[in-house]
Amino acid sequence: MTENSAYKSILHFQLGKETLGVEVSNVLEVLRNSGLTPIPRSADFVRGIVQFRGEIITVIDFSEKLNLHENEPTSGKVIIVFQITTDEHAFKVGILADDVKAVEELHESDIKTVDEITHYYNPEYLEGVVKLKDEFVIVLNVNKIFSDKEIELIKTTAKNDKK
Amino acid sequence: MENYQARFSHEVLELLEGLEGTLLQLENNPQDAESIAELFRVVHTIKGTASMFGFANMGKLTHDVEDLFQIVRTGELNVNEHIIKISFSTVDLLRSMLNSRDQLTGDLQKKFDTILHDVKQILAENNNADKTGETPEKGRLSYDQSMFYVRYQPDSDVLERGVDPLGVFEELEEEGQFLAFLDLNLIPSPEDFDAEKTFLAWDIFCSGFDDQEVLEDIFMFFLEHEYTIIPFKGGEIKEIDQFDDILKRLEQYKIDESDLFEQLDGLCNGCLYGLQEESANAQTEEDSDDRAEEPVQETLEMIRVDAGRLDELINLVSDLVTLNSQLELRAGELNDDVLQKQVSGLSKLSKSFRDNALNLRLIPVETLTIKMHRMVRDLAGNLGKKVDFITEGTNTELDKNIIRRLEGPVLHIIRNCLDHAIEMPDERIAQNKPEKGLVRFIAFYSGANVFIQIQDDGRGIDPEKVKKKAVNKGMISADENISDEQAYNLIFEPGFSTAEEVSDLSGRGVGLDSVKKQIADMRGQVDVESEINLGTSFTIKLPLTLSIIDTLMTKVGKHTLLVPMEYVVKTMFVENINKPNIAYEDSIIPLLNMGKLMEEPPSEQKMRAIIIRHYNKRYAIAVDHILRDYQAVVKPLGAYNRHHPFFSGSSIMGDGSLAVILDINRLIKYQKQNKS
Repeated sequence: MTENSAYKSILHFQLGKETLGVEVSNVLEVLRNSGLTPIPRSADFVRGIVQFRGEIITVIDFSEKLNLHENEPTSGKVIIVFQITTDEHAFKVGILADDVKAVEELHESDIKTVDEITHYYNPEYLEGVVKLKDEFVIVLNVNKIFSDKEIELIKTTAKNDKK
Repeated sequence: MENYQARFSHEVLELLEGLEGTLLQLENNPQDAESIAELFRVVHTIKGTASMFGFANMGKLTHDVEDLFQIVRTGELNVNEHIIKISFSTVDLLRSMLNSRDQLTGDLQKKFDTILHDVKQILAENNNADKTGETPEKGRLSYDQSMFYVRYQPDSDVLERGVDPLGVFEELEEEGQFLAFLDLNLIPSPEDFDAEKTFLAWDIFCSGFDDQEVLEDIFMFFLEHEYTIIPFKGGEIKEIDQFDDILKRLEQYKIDESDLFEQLDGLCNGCLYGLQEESANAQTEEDSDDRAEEPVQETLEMIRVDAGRLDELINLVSDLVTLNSQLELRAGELNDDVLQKQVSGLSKLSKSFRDNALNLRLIPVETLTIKMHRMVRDLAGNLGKKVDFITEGTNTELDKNIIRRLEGPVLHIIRNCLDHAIEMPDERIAQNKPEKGLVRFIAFYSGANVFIQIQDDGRGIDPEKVKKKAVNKGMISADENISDEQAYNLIFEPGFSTAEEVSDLSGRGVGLDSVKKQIADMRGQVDVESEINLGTSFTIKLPLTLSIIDTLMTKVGKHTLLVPMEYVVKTMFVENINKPNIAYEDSIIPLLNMGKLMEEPPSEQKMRAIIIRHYNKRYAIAVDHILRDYQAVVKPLGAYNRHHPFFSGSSIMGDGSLAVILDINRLIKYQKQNKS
């Protein structure tokens, strides 16, 4: 991977009424959602599991994960599959989306830091914001979203779930 | 370079393990010439590879220890406790040095110096006793001997030519003896480093080659400028061509003239000191030994395979099996005789393919025993106890992933045996027991399981003491009436430790509960039986492999739920699933309603219950339907579900849908937590 190049390819996708962006280098494939197998008693944002290239992967709802409660629920027509590699884990994970739009090649300087909307998103999860035609698109940092710390947190929530 | 070092580490680790085994044998039978020869051979090999890969300190250490074994081998010195002790310390130190990449960091330097000092002392004492004090003439080669120096510096693009630069060492090893030093000076700075290029060079001394032509043949795949061969013929070594240049080059390896002579002397069995006669005899003896062993090696031919590749193969085979059952299902619908026949042929083939592939990953439990022997030896010594450790059924095979995870729990149990169960020698004598305690490790198959038992003849577990302690710790109430068997199982509960004094070796905050958990994670069970003053026996039950399990396929609402067959006792109908218990045979057992646990709307119909047995306790698990038995290829549940309260995996079904696999251990833990 050419990390040091000044250009980044950003995949734009629709999630409810939001348009979001992610770096293409993390995306393995975009699948049509032909049905998930739900897992009872898993974390709130886990929508189920799906088979992908002979592996079982977890599919999650970003609206729930990122606390976008003002957002419309997603139709979940497509699943974007990511390869996440952190210090301790390497795994694949899918997120639900309504649709994927274009892939845009952007210069790093086009990705602006965000100030005003930080109350809405956890700033740690953000790569920045880009202006695309008339729209502002939030670019998410999936490696942060799926970080080791996050996975550890899930461990404890699952354990505390003894009602 | 990274690759080479990984290969080197791997090789040396294996050699060290063998060495440890040999040392243990030698300790029991100090006269065993075969073990001594083996010891010498292995140390020699490690020495050779270490300096070849640039591990100079390891080379130095093994060089000196080899000298020690040399005089043991020739019978000048008998194996004694001191030598065994030095040898074990050497093995440990070499392991640490592998980790530290040959750096003598921390207290390694101290250990290193101690061993060298001890060896030197023994050698000096031996010399004084034996030798008449004449100093042999150094640096003179007798006229019927020849040695060669090779400067070997492959071009950086040698890999692109399809030539393995390390290949020559294998051939050198076959044809004669060699001493190689790795020259790292050509490795460029990190920014210029190209992983596909080679920047290594070696300075090699060879002995035992008939003439230069043999050597030339070995280097035939290399270009003329990549290697230079300088022959040493009889006479003063110092007088040969370019000797000063060679010496200068060797400075980087911290070797001076006298070191060089000493090492070369070792290489050619003493030809430089004029002591060759005796050593030459030893050499021919060893040669004939080697020849005698050859046929045995031929029948046991092995191929080493990267474990990761095996796992990959198993994954592929699992996918094949899944796809095959999908095909089978579809072919069944099509009513085509020819197709049916072909598909059933394919099914047979893929099933035996799968069995074969799984077999590849089975390794004997013997691989665990060396560590166990070593631990028993060291620990018994430290504790002042006398213990015989016996292993049985060590050729029983288990999936290598299980063996790897079994090591911790098994060592923990054995440590407990020695620490707490086996009494001090005088205490044993007072009780009319043999002075030496006995610990046995037994492995055997039974059905689709492997059992491992660890037995001792120590003081046993007193169920009353256990109960008292459990009451003190608030684990049970004082009036609770529990059977002895239940009491024994309390020792596996978190926070329980019967050791009245905690030794520094076991009971480091982790108790038997972690043993139980680690074994449960492998879908295994651990049980304990004991009799006061007669001993204790731990039994670990394990599945043969982790990748495929027999299950009962059930339906719970919209879910397909797979229940591992090994726990299933029987199935029955239940009338009222809303009660927490049901009557089964002549007792009342807990009823776990899977529909409720899996958040399904309550169903109206009669439910089925699966009676399972978990650590001698029975539970009923209520499901909507029981369909059939099913061989499931286990897949992990994926991110964020790894710690699911009662599922531990999933499986791709014949029609491509997904089923979840119930984890009985987790389910029962979950049920207990939510009850209280």
